Amino acid sequence: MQQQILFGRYELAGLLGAGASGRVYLARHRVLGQDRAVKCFPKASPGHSTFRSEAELLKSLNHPAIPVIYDVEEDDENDYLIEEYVAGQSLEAYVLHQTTIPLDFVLRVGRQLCDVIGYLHARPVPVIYQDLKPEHIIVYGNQLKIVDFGIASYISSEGNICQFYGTAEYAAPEKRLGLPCDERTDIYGIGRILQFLEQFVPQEERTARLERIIGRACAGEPSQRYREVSLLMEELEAAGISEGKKHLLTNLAVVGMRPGIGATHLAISLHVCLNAEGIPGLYTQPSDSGDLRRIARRSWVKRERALISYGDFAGTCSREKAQEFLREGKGCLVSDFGTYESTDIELEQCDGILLVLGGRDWEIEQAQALYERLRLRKNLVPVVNYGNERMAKYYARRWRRSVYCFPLDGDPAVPTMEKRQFFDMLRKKEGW
Amino acid sequence: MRTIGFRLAKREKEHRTIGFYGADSGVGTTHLALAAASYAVGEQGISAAVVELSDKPCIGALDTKGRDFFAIDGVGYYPGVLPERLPELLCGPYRYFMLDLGCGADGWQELLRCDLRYVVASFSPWRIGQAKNFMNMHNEKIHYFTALLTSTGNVYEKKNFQRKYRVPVRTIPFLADPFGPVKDGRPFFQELLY
Repeated sequence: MQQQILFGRYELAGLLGAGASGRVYLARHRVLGQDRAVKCFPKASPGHSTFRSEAELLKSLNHPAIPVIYDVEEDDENDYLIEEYVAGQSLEAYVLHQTTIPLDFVLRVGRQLCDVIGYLHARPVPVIYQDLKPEHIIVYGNQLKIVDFGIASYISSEGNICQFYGTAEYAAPEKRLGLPCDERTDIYGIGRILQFLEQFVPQEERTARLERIIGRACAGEPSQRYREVSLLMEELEAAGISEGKKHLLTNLAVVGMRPGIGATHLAISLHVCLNAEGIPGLYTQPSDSGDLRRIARRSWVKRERALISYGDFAGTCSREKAQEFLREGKGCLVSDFGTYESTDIELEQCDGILLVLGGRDWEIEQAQALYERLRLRKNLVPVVNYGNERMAKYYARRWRRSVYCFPLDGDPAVPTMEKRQFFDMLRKKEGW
Repeated sequence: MRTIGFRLAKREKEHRTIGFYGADSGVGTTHLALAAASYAVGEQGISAAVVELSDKPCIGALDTKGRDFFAIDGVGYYPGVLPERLPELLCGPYRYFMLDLGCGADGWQELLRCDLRYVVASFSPWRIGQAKNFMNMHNEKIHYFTALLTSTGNVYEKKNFQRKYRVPVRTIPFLADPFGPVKDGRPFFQELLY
């Protein structure tokens, strides 16, 4: 591995990790300019046998939480597996960098694991992953990916397979004893992950319900665990709904100082973060700029009558639907007014108006003019975009009031920890 | 007969024009042009100027005296320039000229004349359609672009776009302040100005 270029295509950029069966390198495809994870399996190593099985298995799988395999290569000393590089950090590293983690995050991880493990179990020939542990789970934005399928196996016709590799700490009792494994072995793994995460949840957020779920998933006797992953998934979903927090929000407005300033970005971010916090919500655009219809055209968006949804996002173009949502008190309506024009009457009805201001030097004058028009409103909350703290402080000093700074962000539909913390802080400070 | 003028005229082109054109308005073209100039001067020690040919000029607001040229922290600024003045400005004493071309028709023509041609677009779900329309409209000239730059959108959208239009898509690092240090954005700007 002295060479820097592999197979004339992959330029090695660093070591990502090393395990029993080999090493994983970060590499950049020289033509496409894309990052790849290159797994190197020395032919002489005892774990080399996992190479073929992992390659065979991965090529047949297609799930957002499973890395894509691009190529298989070999040289005199090693075999190589070229996979999608997942630019996140392991769940272990992610959690260990947090002082506490919200209960909602634990439930979300649980649900995503159930989804991907359920997919593996539902294959024509079911696959047992067998090695679930925080190190093998990569947190990438709002999406988890599981890596290292080295010891995953198909269930044989006898229904019993057992790989004597893996990590003892997270291995199911039957695996440690060399007894037959089945789908419930992975359910035990999910339970152990939830148990690992639960210790970081603040005491006041912990619930007896989650304790029960973990207890059942981690039962020593396989027959006492959930029969299949879907049952565990249902329990986790139910736990998420019942743990929804109480809130005072019903109607929030977002107004930008000019087109393209990021009002829609902030409004969608606010909406998905509230949803992620357990505050059900709906996004709407009273000004009907056509953005929602454009979102609805995306292939991955679900459309159902007047409602469009994907991930944590749910929006409607219909004013009637939005009003009905508000009347019935189903949650928080986020109204994206685009730019401030003649929207006074509708703004009156809102609990809070987030005014999105530009943070660039040439935007100060326009921001000042708009602020002058709106400053007497009690529920006005000025927010500077692009993470420009310097300008937020500048406006705050000038106007002698709190001006918030919305964090930098690439994808509004992903409720990142940073954005959630921002909106949480906003809610606390504004008493929502 | 004096020959100095002749020699000067034969001098090789020493400057480089880097054009930033917006596939749509409000995608951050000016922000990026300013950040690239600040990076060139502040981190690479190479002289740079921003020439604003945008249909919506705004950098004039950086100068309180309303001059048609000013310099801040070593970066030269030419606000609200008309296209006919451009050849004269490009003889100025700068190595890099960052052309903020806005999203109008004049800017598009100038982009094709630049040494490095970047199109800035938004990949937000509600704006990616405009980026696609732009690519379809200029289909036969796509290969002229050095790269398409975006700060928003997810990795899958970018991959699909790159595959469909066969144009390199690069992610613009988030910079709260275009005049401040680029920090994590260094590799991006290195590649941008190579």
